[in-house]
Amino acid sequence: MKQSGFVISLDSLAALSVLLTILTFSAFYINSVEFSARNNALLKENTMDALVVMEKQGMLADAIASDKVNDIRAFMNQLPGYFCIDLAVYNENDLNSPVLSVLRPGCEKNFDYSATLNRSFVVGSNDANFYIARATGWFKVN
Amino acid sequence: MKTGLSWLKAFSIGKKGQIFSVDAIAAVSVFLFILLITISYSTEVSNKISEVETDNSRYDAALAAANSIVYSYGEPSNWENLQLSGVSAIGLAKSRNEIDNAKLMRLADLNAANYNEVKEILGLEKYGLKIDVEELQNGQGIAEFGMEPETGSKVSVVRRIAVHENENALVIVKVFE
Repeated sequence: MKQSGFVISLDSLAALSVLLTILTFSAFYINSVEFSARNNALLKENTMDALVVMEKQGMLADAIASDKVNDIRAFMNQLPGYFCIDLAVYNENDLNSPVLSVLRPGCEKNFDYSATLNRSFVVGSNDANFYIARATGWFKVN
Repeated sequence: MKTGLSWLKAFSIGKKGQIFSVDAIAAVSVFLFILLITISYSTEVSNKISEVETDNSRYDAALAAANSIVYSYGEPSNWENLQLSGVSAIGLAKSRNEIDNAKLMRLADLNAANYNEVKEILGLEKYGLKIDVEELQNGQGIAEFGMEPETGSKVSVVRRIAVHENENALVIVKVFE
């Protein structure tokens, strides 16, 4: 018994170690996958919901007219706790400087993914001005 | 010159085989161990994928039902005045994100006798369904449809914001198995 056979137990152990390493990494990867597509769909819907409701309820027009964002901030506070929103309203002639900006109290912009949606609205009837509300929504990070 | 038989005899007696029994046993043990781990792992991965697919399907159904409720008028658009047999789609909107009270009340009225038919129209025949419409400000219930999921059942919840009778409202759609 001077020579070993073709099947060497040390090689098998090495192969086993490699296999276990691969399985460990793949298990870690599979468990860490987040199925974000569905959450992103809901995020877009929730952001658009908030924009539409603010516009339909006249909060955006009132805020422009009065230069006060109390109603918008109160509305944001009523939204489901998992949802954060940042609203900026721009005059149609200047899309760089918002005429008003409101971030939901208690929210920080520490998101990995967000949804930004725009909705235009009119303030005034005779001398109407067009504005664009831009809302960025994200799920609150605990 | 050796004959074939004597060569075989000399070879088999004089030399060891190329596979030693201890090594072979160890290798087979390792192989079986690997096989066991692989089968176990692949089964677990398969189960997880299956669970995620089931979860995704349920969630997609909940999202589609919530969209239908909040965005659409239903088909026909005056479905609240018709027999359910003539209704192909149920929606509560009178405009986007604005809930029509007549449609909401009709949906609530259908709860007792037409739970399964409404689920079917909403594309949720294989799931359970609970819809709650409540005031956004204080969570007070406005109307509801369906039944609450049992404890421990898998539930997908979609929350949508809407307007009802000029007040902000929250529509909660729970789809469960």
